[in-house]
Amino acid sequence: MNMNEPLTDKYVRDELSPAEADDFELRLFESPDLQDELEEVLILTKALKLDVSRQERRKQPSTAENTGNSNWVKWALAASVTLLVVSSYFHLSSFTETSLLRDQIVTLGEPRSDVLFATVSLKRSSSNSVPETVIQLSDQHSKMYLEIELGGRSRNDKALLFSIENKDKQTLLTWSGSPDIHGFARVILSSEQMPTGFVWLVVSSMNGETLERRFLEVRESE
Amino acid sequence: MRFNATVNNKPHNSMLCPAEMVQRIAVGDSSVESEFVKKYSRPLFLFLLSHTNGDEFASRECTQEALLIALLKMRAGNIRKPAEIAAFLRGTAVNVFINYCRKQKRYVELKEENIIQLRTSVNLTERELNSEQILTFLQEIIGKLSRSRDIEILRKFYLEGQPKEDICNKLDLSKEHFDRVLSRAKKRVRTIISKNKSLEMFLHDEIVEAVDEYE
Repeated sequence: MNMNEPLTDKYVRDELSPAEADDFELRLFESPDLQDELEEVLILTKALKLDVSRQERRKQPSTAENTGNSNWVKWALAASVTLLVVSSYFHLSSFTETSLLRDQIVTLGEPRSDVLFATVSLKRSSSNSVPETVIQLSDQHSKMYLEIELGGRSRNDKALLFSIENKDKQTLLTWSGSPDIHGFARVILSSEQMPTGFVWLVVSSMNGETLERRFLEVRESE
Repeated sequence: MRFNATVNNKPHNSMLCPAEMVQRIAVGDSSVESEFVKKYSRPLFLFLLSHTNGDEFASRECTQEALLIALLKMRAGNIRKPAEIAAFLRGTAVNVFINYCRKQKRYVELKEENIIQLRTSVNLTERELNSEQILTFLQEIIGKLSRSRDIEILRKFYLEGQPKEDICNKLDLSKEHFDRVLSRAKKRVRTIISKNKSLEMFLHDEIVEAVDEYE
């Protein structure tokens, strides 16, 4: 057996002393063999988790799709005026089960005002095949507060053009804005202005150069 | 080695030690920057994966950001101890991850019961197919561990964190048998990874591409 194997297991199981863990991590950065060993254990753990999660799912035929009222109150306190939050992660990763590779939508009970809060991060590499953010509109007369976390290419520009394009690159909606010091740009849109379906959020400089693109799905109110 | 197959690996750079890499980047050698990213993206990702309970998304994000920070520091000649670049990267990754967690707190926490899993209605795309392939790899790993007793041992050890001695006592196993189960499982994982190059490319090249994109 390779001498590193028990050490890798101890590392993953958090059984090394701080000094030993330090030493292990620094060796990890320089040793492809150690990287292989750690990768094996992490993949094995992931596969085991997948197996457990499938068995649990078989035992529980259905999962709650909506939070109950008590949950909503709790969330409402945390989220202030935010009533329907649509989360933004498409989880594209290497060792992950299909369910985690799907859009994740978080619904926080029934809307109690007409503000929809949605966040789009442009910091990741863009995908042109699977939407990385799904925005579920609440109703036609609601407002949508869109917070866009800009990527490295656009956050330093003082003024930016934002647009929503369809797959044929037709511009459906445009607005201008400025990033704040943290690299965020925000806009309030009326839900009825927002095109639905699979669309691109495009960030451009004021001279029209495309800086960032993000593939979104906007769903109509249910 | 992971990145032998990737482009732009100039042979004369492949033998550079960490300190030399840092120094070359400081004087503007961009080919070394690529090599640096390729060399360190994998260990950094694995390091973060180990500390985030396997959160691939957070690990990928933080790996990209830590590498970008390191590159900017190196370009500016601000690495005090070039020979200890691995320690710098590790420290940077930890800080980036802490900031990442702080930032997440600004958003409403995702809870299992609030997550509705939806499948996009579009046809399977290339990226999705990759994801499906990865799922298949994981299933294959479980399939290879066909003995339920082996799976039980591995679960108790890796997921439940039970000590080896306890597992051996409970299941009436010798320590040698226990070691054989672990070793066999890891070998099967390695066989599956090495049979499927797309798995490792899918894992590592995306980080490299993303860092390149923002350089």
